[in-house]
Amino acid sequence: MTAYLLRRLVGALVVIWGVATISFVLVFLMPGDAARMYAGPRAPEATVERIRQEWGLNDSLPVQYVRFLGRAVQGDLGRSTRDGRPVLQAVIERVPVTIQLALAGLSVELLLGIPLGIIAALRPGSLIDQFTTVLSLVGVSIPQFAVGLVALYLFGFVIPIFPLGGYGTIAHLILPALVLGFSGAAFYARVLRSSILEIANEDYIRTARAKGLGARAILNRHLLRNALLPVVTLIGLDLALLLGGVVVIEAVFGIPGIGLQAWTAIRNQDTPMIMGTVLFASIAVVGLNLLIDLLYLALDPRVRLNAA
Amino acid sequence: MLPRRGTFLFLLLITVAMLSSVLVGAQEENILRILSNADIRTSDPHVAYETETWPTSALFYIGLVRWNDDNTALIPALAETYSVSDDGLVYTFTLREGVKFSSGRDITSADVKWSFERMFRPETLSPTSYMFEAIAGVPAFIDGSATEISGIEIVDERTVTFTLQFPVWSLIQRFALPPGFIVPEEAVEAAGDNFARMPMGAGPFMLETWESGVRITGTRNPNYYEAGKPFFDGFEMQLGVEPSIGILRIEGGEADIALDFVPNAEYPRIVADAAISAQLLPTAGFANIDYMIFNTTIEPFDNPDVRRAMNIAVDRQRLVQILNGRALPAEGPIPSSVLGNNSTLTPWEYNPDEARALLESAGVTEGLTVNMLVNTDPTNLSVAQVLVADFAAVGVTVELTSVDNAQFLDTVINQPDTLELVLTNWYLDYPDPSNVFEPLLQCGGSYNWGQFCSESLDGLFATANSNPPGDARWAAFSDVEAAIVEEAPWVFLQHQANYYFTSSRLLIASDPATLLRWDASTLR
Repeated sequence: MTAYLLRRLVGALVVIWGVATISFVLVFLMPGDAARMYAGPRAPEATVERIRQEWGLNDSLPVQYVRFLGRAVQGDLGRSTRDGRPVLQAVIERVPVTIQLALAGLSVELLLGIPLGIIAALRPGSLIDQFTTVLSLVGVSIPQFAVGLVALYLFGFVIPIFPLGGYGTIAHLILPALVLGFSGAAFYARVLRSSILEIANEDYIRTARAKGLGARAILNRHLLRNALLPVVTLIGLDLALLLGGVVVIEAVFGIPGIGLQAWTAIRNQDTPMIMGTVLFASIAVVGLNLLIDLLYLALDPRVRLNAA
Repeated sequence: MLPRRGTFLFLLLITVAMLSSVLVGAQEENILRILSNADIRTSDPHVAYETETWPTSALFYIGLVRWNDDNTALIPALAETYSVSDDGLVYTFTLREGVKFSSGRDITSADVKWSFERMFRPETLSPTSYMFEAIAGVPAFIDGSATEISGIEIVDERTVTFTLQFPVWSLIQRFALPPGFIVPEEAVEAAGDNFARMPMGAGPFMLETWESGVRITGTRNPNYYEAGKPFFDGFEMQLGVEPSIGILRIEGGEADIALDFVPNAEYPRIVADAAISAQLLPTAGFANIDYMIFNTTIEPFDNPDVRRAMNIAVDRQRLVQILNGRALPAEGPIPSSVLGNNSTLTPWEYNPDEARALLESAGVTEGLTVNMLVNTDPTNLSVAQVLVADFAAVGVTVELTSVDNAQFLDTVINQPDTLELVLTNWYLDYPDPSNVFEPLLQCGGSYNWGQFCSESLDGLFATANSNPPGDARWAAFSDVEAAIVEEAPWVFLQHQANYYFTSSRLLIASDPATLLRWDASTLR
């Protein structure tokens, strides 16, 4: 067990290092010039050259990479070239905001998606089943910024129940969470529905039914426990994605999260900030994957046997 | 079991949200409520260079001079008087007696000198310092061979002179811009690396709090040089507000002004609505031109006839429609709001037939295919698409290459020889016609991506530019513009009109130096 954990941890570190390395090379290869983006089109070449030297942009890729890595392992991610702030501080400031938004969105997705999925599976072809199908289609096809803007217009301006975007109180969080949940819930419902229907045909369900267990007991004790396994995987991936930043929702609602930070950094070729946000996102993805795998160990005895 | 887990997550969320939330207090009446889409990256006037950072730095700082209320002349601000020598080489400023930073410390001529030198220090990374590079001794100061700028002399406590290497008559306008704002040494030293977010100057407000990405708040500067100003007790700027949401907020009475211009899509609705159309504030100055550059070093664009033909191939009325009426067709490069523009120029007449004939007589036959570079700005893209259609109608096939701004700048600046056509815009830093000709059209100009070069035009420009501000200068520049139009180095497209949207209670002025005049804002 300890050996397994250790192996996974080392693997996680290697993945994060790999992501950092590939991102660094990609950012280096990006067309354009961070110093020019900072100075603007009008600054004379001499000014831009001074900035390049100040930031060490004239050094070769290996030199810049080793410098970056050397500082990163000491916890120094450098300073944003856009606003001069320490990257680590900026990322740490924004992470709680993103976590709040991610958890709020995920809650709505699960609160809506799981009951819908169960009902849809228990009554295939019913109105609710068809509703979730339509909802998932609509949720996937309407872009989130459109839903967000319409929601803000309706519930912030026409009927002013919620604030018109911004950040700070729970009221600010509800509308973006609903918009996030709207597009995600139906997806969970579809996955859960097909998972339940698949498991309903398994031998052990037939056995349970044969030994005279009630429908509710079968559902709670046998069906749901197994049917929810793929949902747990999905939650892990989804949460990792949400933590990586919900750029569109953050932009529409004016939430200062990590996604908006990454987007601004990319547009301004702010290399240290790009690397900081990428590192955070990769840590979130790798960490949550690890967590989900450990959760599987607890939930599914078969996995436990394989791991040992 | 799962709904219970959902409930748990929800409770967790509420707890987290409550713990970290800052409850927004009740709106105070006398607070100016500002919105900005962008997170403000800096308030440092020597570093700022965006439409949101210039007005932000003007909340906290001010310079020696500023525009008067009609935006027609520069009047003293921190200075009490200023004068320019007859040869245009020496600018002399005398500070007001007892004029203070918001901290209460007197501003002296040493502060003026220190502030300008600080702008030129390599570690300041100022993108705008070049506007003052004509000051004598600047090159030596930059390369480190001098420890001070010899052209800036402290005459006494209140008098300072700037001596130039050569006359620059538009320099007085540049003194009103943020790079000319006065920054106190002790504030820069105390803030260290964080000076961008710890402003302290002599502007109308002083900083209270700065929450990166969330909000900036400030209070009235009791030591402001004009007694009784600013009107507001303070301001609160909310960051990250999407522009169309910002308009809804202002309409709903939740905010007073956004630093973002009214989006193209919102403009027709506001103009058409009599109840709110009066809340549109046109930007004073911010003169600009949208234009398409020819690479004038390659065939067939080295031929002025071809360039003229392309000019009359464009339906400018349609472009104005695309911009929802928010523009004026351009006759030449200099916007009509700028003195020195030639008011006798006739509008380009849309005439595809004549364009075709001109192209044919210039030897451009059917089947010319060229590339047009444009950035990903949505307005630029829609203008580019109209141009593609107009040029196709006269037999010129244009392929669009749309790249993000970083790559766009990299291409136009570092690989100008690969260019054929480029669609772009120019916003004047200060409303003097030299700010169009010098960077954009002079042989070797820093922004002259089409490599247009005419020695006779350069001569005309040099003569015009040697005149001090006044009728002779404007008349000479008007001749320069006529000569440029004759050469048609670009397709002159349009001058965009940009608007702010203000709340019904706010009265505020716009000026060409900082876009918004905070000290002139008041309640209706």
